[in-house]
Amino acid sequence: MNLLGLESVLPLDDVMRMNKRQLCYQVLNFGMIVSSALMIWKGLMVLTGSESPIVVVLSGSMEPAFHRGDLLFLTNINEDPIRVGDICVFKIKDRDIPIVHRVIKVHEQADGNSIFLTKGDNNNVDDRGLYAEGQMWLSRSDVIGRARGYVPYVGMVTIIMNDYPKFKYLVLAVLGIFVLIHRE
Amino acid sequence: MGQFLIPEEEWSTGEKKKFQSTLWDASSMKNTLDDAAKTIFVDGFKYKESHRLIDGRLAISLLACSCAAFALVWDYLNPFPQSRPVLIACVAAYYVVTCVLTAHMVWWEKNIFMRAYQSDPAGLDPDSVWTLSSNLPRYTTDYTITVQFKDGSTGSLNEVSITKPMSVWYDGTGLLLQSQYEPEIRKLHDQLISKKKD
Repeated sequence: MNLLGLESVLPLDDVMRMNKRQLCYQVLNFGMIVSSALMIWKGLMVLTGSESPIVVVLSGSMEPAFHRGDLLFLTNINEDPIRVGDICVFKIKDRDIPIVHRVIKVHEQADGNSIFLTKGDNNNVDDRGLYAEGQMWLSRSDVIGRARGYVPYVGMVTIIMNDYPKFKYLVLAVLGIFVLIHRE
Repeated sequence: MGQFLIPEEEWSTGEKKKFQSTLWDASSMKNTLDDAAKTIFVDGFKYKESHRLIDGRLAISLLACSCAAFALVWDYLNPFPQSRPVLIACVAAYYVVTCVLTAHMVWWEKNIFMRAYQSDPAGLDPDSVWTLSSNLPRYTTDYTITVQFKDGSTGSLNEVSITKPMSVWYDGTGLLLQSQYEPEIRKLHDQLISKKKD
């Protein structure tokens, strides 16, 4: 098998000797690792009730509470009403980027629905400039969760991966190859 | 009649040696020893290999991956809040299947890496079963290989094993030496054959 001299760089001895079944198992092993990560993520989604239980703070608009690159853990329990002072993560309709800001005004309507106004701690103005055209308030459905805990700095990895997608693919490819080659 | 069961060309095919392992990598050397023993039994003694164990593992792993794939597709088609019950079911199923897989590997497979059938030459008795298992504890180089023979006609179970530091079978480059290893395995095999005759 001509491997372009790769055998001197990668430990391919075991792989060369594998029969069909063992190769199948290597691929399934890789699949199992991916599946485990996926199931942990879906499990967290179910536990917290939020469609995105872990988010990364992308801007400095919440300093000194949160800095760019912090990792936030969210919960989204509908029964808990959102109050002034809660830090919410919300998405504006038709936009992908989640925003992490503090609730500064709440109007509770008679039927139990609430509308909110948010503002970043480090911003001078409230978020009306960020909302969609003609939108003055956020509703419960825009909110993807409330911040319950955080880990500093760890999110920088995600930011770097998103800024340099080629780096992300390279890291994933290298990890994938090593999982596929390594025989337990 | 050649000295070895496996023709020398098969043991070391050309430039790329078949039983070459990475020196200092204990798991690679163990895998090479396992593969070589398997080759001696399957290609050398011409016993028929049984794939039941690894097929079981493959099937369970495939089931687990399917649960995850199903969850992924379902969640994509029905955005989150609606897919909650299906997701719970998939995560629970995945967890159960992974436990089953671990149970399979710990209790069913144990350290067995080969099982082969030797059919009765007369065609009368059921097949005898040869089982090979091996063990390499952490931080040591003492490799133990156990050969177990289950006689098809009497149903009796016998096993022999040998423990040696791996270095006696390898040369300086990490190549498994046929002259050292094959006779050892054949000796274990022959010990069980002669026990059977007793």
